Amino acid sequence: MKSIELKTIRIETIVKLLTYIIGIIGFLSVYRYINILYSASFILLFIISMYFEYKKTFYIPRWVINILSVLVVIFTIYRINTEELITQIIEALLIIYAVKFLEEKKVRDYMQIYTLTLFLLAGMGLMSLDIVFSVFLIIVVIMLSTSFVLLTFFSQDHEMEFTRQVAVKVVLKSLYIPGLAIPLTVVMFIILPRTQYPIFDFLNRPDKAKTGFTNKVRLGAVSNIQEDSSVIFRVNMDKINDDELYWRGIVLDYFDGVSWSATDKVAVPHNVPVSAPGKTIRQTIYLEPYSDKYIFALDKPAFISIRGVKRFDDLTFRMSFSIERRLRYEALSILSDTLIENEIEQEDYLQLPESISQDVRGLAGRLMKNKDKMEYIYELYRFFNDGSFRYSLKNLPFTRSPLDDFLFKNRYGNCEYFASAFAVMLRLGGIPARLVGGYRGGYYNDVGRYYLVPQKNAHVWVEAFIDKKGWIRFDPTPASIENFALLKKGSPMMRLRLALDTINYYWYSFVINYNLDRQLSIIFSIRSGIKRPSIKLNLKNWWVYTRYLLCFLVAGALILLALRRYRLRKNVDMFILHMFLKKMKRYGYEKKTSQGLEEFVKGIKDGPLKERGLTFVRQFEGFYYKDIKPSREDIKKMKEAIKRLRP
Amino acid sequence: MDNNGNKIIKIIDSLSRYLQGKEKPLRLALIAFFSRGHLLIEDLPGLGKTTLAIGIAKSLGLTFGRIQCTSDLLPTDITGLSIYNKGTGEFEFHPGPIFNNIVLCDEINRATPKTQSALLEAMGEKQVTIEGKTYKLPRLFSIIATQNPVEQFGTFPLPESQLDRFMMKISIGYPSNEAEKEILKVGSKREELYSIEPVISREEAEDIQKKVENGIYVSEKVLDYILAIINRTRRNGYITAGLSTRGALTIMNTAKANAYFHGRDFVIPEDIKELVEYTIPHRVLFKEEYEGLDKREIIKSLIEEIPTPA
Repeated sequence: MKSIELKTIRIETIVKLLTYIIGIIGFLSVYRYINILYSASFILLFIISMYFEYKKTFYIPRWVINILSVLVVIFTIYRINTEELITQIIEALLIIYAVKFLEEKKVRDYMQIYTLTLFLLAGMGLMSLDIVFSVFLIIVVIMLSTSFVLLTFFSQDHEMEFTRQVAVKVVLKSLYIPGLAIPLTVVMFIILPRTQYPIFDFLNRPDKAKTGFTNKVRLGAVSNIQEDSSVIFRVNMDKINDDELYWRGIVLDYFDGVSWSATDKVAVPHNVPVSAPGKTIRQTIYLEPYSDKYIFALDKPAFISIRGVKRFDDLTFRMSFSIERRLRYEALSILSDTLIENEIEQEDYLQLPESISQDVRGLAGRLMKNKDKMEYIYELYRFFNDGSFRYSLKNLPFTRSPLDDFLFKNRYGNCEYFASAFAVMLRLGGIPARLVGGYRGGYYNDVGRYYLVPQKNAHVWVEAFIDKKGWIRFDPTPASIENFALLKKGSPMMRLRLALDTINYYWYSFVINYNLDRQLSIIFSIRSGIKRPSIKLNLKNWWVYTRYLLCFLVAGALILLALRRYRLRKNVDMFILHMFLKKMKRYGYEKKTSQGLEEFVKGIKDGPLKERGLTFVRQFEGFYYKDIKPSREDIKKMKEAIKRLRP
Repeated sequence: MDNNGNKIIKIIDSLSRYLQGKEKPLRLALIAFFSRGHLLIEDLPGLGKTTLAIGIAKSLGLTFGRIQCTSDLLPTDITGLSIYNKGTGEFEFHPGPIFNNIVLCDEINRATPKTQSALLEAMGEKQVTIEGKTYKLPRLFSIIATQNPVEQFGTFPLPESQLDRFMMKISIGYPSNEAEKEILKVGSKREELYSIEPVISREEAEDIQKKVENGIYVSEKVLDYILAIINRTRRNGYITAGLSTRGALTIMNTAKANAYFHGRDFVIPEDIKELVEYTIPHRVLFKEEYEGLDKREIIKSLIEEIPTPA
């Protein structure tokens, strides 16, 4: 008999052994980074739990463990600071980890321990880039997979035993899992995040039909872009004044009476300085594919860092190919409405088609009477903004003489009508002018610290050349910023969309445009304290968040109450029965499913408990088997009977 | 309700003086009687079957008849027959022993199939037809049949289909040592039994039958439990033919009577569980390989697999 016993091993023993080894590894992986006090308490608790395992007679009750864990979490939250966030989280995790070991472990407890191990390991990964990390990782992965396989057996039968040979076989077989998974993971790790081109792109190809600026824009055509609510780009930068949010993309200088187009431009080397007064601002832009070549940046872009981009003399940037995939680039811009330039080909910017009507010329003449150039510009500005013209995206005049219709008939239109009318009038007055197409405004996401610019923010404005000053930006569209509703005025849907977009943003910026530099800088930035995004926000708007939290809690509590009431109403007898059986179980008597209640109670050896149990059962049966809903008082009586249950 | 429960207790108490140590069979016999069923006692002779039958009849104030079955017993010996009366010049019907409230039918398996079926028909229909005339049996009518499990020679075992008509099949078993000692000391009390006063009247007995039938509530949960039991007997590895619908009705009716005996006006699963070993085994056909096993134990083990409603 003895020899047989020697040869078999209880699965539980193997699982426990593995779990404790995993526990030690989990601890070793992080002990270097945490306070000695935490390490000491972990070791202490760990030893106590090993003692409990050895004795097998006493375990700390689950509710004590739970309360303890909650206290640890609360304490951590209380003393949290952004400088040492990771360390503090790891310290808290370690204590919860140790507490978890104290419990009498069921399958799910082992699972929780393993999860915590992985979290600790992740914590270690954030703290150091040692090669030791991968050693820990591989050991843990191997042990976890073995342990999981054994745990599956254990969950089926807690008393299951293996002979030594079987145990060895199972362990060896379970090594196949990490043996296959680790190389595969390495391959995936190398391939997946580094492709600029999404591997599974064919799945969402139809999404690609995009609208956007082209080098020839018919009057009113921008409204097509403006009806598209998809995102054109996201810009990671500091928040700036709304007035300065002009995203420059394309310059249109030739007008044929119906549409504006861009004439061929001369490429300019990137190192030619852009002279404009104002402060330089740095942006990281994530441009969505939109099927043309123009690169957007804040107005007066000075430098754009992306391979293959060309700068032109009208201060636009273009790729040599149309943009069919998501691009990420850095841009430097000078925030200014003036581009200082001395010499330009004036005639190019005074071009006007023959078809300009006498009415328009007459209007220009009237407005220009006895005025110098600057005064004329202001007069024009007033003309478009005195309230007689209205901004509209609907029923735009797509006629042969759209300008005449806009100026004299309809008196409404989108930015293109305003801008082209303005530019034409300027040119009629002898002032060189051109149209700039791009985007206006954007929605700032405080969490991700970026501007989200949708297609519908497409905009066209005017640049006029003033001698000795250069190109000056004019936006004749009435109240143009209001048309690109900002966050404060935004609808709840827009806010929600913006909030959800944060996830997109992080996905694009951290995963799709993955590179080791960036990864490293992120790790270091996390390590040196997560100042952004959420912690700072929490402190700033704590009241808002507390309010949300309170609402959430109250709603949750109400739902719970309602559920409880519902359950009580619907199944009050089952509820009471459950109470009774639970209490009996506490005294060590568990009802078999095939047992009737009286049968169960009569089987109790303890006299007084049996007597009291019978009293309750008799009461209960009177309602349950007669299908009578007990009244409140009856319920109370039964509950009292349950309370009185004791040996 | 307790009142009525007490009546039953009173009957059992008064009879147990004469039926030392046979409370359980007595109780089962009463359950069968009050749920308007018939009882089959399978046991060796001399263990008090007759005493039991007489005791029940007397304590309930009922008439008692006895049929001793033999192979030459004719159906008319049971039902009675018409005899020509010279005086009146007419045939007069002389009722047989079956026209009693409690009829003890000893060694039923010794009667020929013809006689058996006449008897079983009477049990089922509660009436007999003799020479074209139908005679109603008394409203309170219960047969207690016995059969000897050991002697097989010259017997005609009841076919399963007819066994189904018996509400319960029980055995009395040997009395305990003390009870037997008591019997030896005092002697049989059979004679005294004939002269005991009824504990309850015939009307009361009828009343109880009615209450058992109509006054006991059976919850849907309990019905589901019964259905689960029936389905279990129909689908398992031991049994080829499961319970019939009559079997299901029996389970419910006996459970009602049992509940009444416990002083309750509703049925709980225990009422059913207590009786399954008496109500089920003789109604189902076991596979040949399990014939040798204790059928009661098999049935009990099957019932143990069925969860109770609470």
